Amino acid sequence: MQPNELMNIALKAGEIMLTSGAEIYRVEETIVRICKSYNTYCESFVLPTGIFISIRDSEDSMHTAFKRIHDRKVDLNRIDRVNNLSRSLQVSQPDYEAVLGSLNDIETVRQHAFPARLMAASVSSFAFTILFQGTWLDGAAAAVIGAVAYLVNEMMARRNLYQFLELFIAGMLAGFISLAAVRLFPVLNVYKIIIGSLMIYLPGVSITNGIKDALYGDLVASLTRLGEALLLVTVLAVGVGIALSVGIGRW
Amino acid sequence: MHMVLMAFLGSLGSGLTFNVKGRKLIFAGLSGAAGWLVYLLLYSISGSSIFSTFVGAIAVGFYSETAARYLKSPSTVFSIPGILPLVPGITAYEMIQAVTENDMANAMVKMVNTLGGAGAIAFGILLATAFFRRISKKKKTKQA
Repeated sequence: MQPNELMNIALKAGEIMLTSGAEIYRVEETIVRICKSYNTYCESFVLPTGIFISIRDSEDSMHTAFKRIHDRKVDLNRIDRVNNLSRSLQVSQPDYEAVLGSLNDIETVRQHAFPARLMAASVSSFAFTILFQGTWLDGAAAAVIGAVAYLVNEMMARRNLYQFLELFIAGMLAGFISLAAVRLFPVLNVYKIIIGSLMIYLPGVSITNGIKDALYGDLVASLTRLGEALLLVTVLAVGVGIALSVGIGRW
Repeated sequence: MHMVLMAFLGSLGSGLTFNVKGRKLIFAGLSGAAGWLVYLLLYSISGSSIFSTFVGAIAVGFYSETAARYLKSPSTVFSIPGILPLVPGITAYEMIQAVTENDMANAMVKMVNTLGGAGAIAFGILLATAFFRRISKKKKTKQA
């Protein structure tokens, strides 16, 4: 494989992993592992917003490339598959087209169908509400509100709004609907419904990755991720807070 | 007992929205159930929610690293859905509520509680990962 072809593949693999929410060390390791499988020396430096790769070719000259990463969407399945692909390259080394083909497959593989995800969001809203000692009725209300919030969130995501804006609106929406629901059915418990239906928006990925990055010494990435988590939580909280203060003030 | 089932469902559902697929989805759900079971046990003994969260997170971390090795997947596939039930959602909410009611003293109390819970999860996962990394490093040096 030519150095620039190898670089292409390594960049692509890294890009898929990073955009899907992989930890920094995993992306760096995967890139180096791919290069090593083809007996090439390589260094990689990955930030949450970009990937840098240097490869030394057979004549000892260095080639460098970098890729800017803009949007990120959590997709644990893709991380899993690129990870497995890079490990399989250690055993056998297919040619450029074959590897690129499998990477393209991974990139275009479909997510769970939207109705399935909507259902899952609804079920987990229900489950979390019960978990926080809500009643079955609270759970049922949270299931509906969680589904509505997820639906709106998905619509905004398809229009490529900013993630912060999406969370803000999801939080505010869940807050308002929950208040209205309690107004209609006073047996319900506002705060259990709101928390239950918003649990899946909490930035679990940013927090988990931020900590792991710190452990592996990727301090820049760690602080960035934790900062991102803090911002996301704040935005969500402000959304809910606005709903609460307006709602409680009016009623 | 139905609480553990709910933790399982919650993690399973959120795992699905993060696009975990196939039987790994079941294992992601079990991760949440395991963490919550440990949390409940310790909470009934100690009565401290932050401490119980901490040990629960260690349990999730250990479970995820083990499952990752058996199923040949990154451990985050199991740990990210798994920690969700432990996240201090209630105190976070109570903090927001206190802020909207202009009750700043209470808001500070809740904020400390929330940060404590989040920190406990973070440190729990970190411990488990560090432990497993140490072991796999030792294995590698033995092989070499």
